[in-house]
Amino acid sequence: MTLAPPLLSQLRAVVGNSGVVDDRDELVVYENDGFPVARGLPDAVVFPTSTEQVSAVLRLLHEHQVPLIPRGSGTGLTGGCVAFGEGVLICTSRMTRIEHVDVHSRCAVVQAGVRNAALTEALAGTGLRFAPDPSSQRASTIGGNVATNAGGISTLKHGVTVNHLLGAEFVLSDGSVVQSRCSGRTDSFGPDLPALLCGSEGTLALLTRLWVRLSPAPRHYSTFVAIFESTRDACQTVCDTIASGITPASMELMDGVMIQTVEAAFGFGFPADAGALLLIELDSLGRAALEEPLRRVLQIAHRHKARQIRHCSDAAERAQLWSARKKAFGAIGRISPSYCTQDACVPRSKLPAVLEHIAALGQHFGVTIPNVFHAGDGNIHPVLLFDQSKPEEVQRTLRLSEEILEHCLSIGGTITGEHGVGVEKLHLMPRMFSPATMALFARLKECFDPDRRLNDGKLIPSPRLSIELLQPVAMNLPGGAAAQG
Amino acid sequence: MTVTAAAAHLEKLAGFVRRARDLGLPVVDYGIAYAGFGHPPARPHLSPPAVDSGAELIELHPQDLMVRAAADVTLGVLQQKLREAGQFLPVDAEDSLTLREIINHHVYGPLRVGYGTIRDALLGLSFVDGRGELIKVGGQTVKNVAGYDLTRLLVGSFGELGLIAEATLRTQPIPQATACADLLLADARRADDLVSTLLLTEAAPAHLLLSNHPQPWRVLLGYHGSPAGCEDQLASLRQLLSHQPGIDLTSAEMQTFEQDQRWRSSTRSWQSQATGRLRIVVPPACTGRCCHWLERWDESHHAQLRIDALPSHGVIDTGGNLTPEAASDLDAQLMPKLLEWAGMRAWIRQPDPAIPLKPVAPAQPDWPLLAKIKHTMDPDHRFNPGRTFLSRAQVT
Repeated sequence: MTLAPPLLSQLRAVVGNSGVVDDRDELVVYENDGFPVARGLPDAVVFPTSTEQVSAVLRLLHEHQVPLIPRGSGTGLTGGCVAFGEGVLICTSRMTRIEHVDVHSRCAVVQAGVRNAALTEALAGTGLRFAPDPSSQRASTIGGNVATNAGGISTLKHGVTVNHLLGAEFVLSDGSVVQSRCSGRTDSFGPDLPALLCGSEGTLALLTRLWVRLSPAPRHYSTFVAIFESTRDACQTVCDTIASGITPASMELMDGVMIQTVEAAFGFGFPADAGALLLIELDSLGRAALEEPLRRVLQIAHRHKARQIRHCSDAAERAQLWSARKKAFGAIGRISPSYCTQDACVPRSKLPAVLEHIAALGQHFGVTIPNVFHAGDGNIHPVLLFDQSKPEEVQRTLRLSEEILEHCLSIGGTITGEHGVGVEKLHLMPRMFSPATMALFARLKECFDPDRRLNDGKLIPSPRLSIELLQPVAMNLPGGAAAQG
Repeated sequence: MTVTAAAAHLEKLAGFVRRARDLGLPVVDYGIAYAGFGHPPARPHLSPPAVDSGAELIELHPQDLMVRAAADVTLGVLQQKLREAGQFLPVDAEDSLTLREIINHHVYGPLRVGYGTIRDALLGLSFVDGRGELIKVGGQTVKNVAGYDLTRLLVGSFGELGLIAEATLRTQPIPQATACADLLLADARRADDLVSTLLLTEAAPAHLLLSNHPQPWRVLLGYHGSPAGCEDQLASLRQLLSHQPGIDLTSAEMQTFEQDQRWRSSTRSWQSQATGRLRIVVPPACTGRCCHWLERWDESHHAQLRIDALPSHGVIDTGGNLTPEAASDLDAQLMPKLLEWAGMRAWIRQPDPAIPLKPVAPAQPDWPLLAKIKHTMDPDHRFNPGRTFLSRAQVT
């Protein structure tokens, strides 16, 4: 579908010539997010800079009944901001104003396109920070974090994005602007509308400004790596630590395959024959408060046969260890042309058995699966290695992903802990939720977006647009997307 | 809870709502502590069936720090069961309140500063919608972003979006030790700076309350952790206060968790005995100013207001033996200040329901959309119809 020239002119009148991209070569940049399997070109990309511009653009698209897809930095991992051959991407990346910081009430007001890390950088010297810390935090926007209810490495102690969201200003698909809890208060009376929008993946409204809670920035850290013979021992250390009442900021687990991969790439000095490692970080406002929990965590790790403990002696070494964690995915790029990171969450006590089941599934499918994940949250990220140029490998990987997620569901888990549903896991939603719950989701979608033009076909199935990732990629419909009727 | 008991309980509630729908009757459940909140219940109506709030309706997963319980279970029964496993639910409410009432009204107290509220502890929820369908959202995991987050949407929804049937909650281990401290302030306004400084130090507490009883003003603090950790935090507090003239540390002592009852503000007798009870929410930096304003109003009206505030979160609970006239006057004078501070207030209990004040004010820009959501989830306005702004427009 191509946009009518008068509409393009009207859009340019709102956001300026540089605020609209419709050249096909330039649009290629926007054909996918971090989930490479799902691809599709938008008709145009619009870059508003204010709520007023977003509202005017959405009114125009409403008049012309054109679908629209919100996008922040495009760091999502589920195809949630892909246009699939029709519609206009509304990109918030130029809405970058930090409008207000209230240190006394510990609240900030930001435009949706402010980068996660930019807010914390702007808070330097205040003793405060914006706590959600997804791996993409240097690039991802706060609007995107809210839309996906992003988690991160220190979620275990500090919570996910919804725990830090106070209020939201958003624009409905007809262009009307709504403010909910936009006051700097930490509470209100009545249903929590910002919480409903958090994690709704841009299917209900387009976020324009956010009121977020600021948290005291930890000043002291105790960071160490524990090496284990098996993932079971490492997982048991995680369970026992948390059950003992200690909540570390992070408990990240790498299995043996991942350790070898990281070592081969970067040589951090981890034993290549290790079965698993835990990267554990305790944080606090005071140094003394770290001593007792550290002693107890070390006791628990030793009880579960940790064969080596490596402490960080200074900030540089801490940075190096976190670098090893964050570079894990970069290391995978050296051993596989493509990879698909799965994202499920299970009750922590089920972690040892889940990892063993995933390993068995990998063997059965003939797919190598390194694991690096947020063990403290029970949030697994098995990394499925494949070659994207080989269609049969793509299909096999997607089927294996599905088997893993089905298993997690069967033991009380969820199909996504932090990445979201997008199009990647859309087909699994009816397996996680009853028909009555799915029907209620659909009615809520209709309540906000009666024409189903706002990021339709993501998160919940659409009667209008079907995206079949398990089907061979169609000639001119990337990602297997097919418009219905 | 055995699977059979749980499933039977959920089915019973869904069947009850369907029966109410067939009879064309509203379902009214205002709760106990919040029975006086909102416009009076519609009549005639049905009330949810009484169930035994027993331990068989609780499924505990101690290693995952998680509990699933029927919404009819009272907090007291739940806490007792958790205590046996060395855990607790960090929610400040009366033991007699059910989980449904706590979630419907977003009940919380001084523990909020250290543990958050039930909004943060809630992992999953089952409820019956207006069509009599059983809806299950969230789950048993600490992270979950599948589907729309209806769990938190229902927190504080006054029981107007659905009939909550079951909740899955994150629990906490009972801390090894507790340390408590009392501070005396001459002026409530000192609390704002004190608390914003305190929260950035290692003396940040697990519970915190500013109270005008006994006068003048007291800040009650509590620390949870290991004995050594609590001692360290008390030492940090002393050090911090040495730079805060005019704030006196009147007591500081180690206690056991069971001894420390001070955070259970909702069980304080004044709240259950007051003829008029009001909750005010303002940006945290305005808490002291708001308390000071209430104190000034009280001096001229001799109402002997009790004031309990959470300065960390800008929440003020106040009230006492108010006459209807005094309540009206307080409300009228408070409203302009709330507009100035970007605050809100809700009358949890009004002195005279016959002279009703708006349950929640001032009106907010998201109310029309919230009313639309109410209509989507409860199209016949079956649940607590007319109680608040969510359905009031249709009733009037």
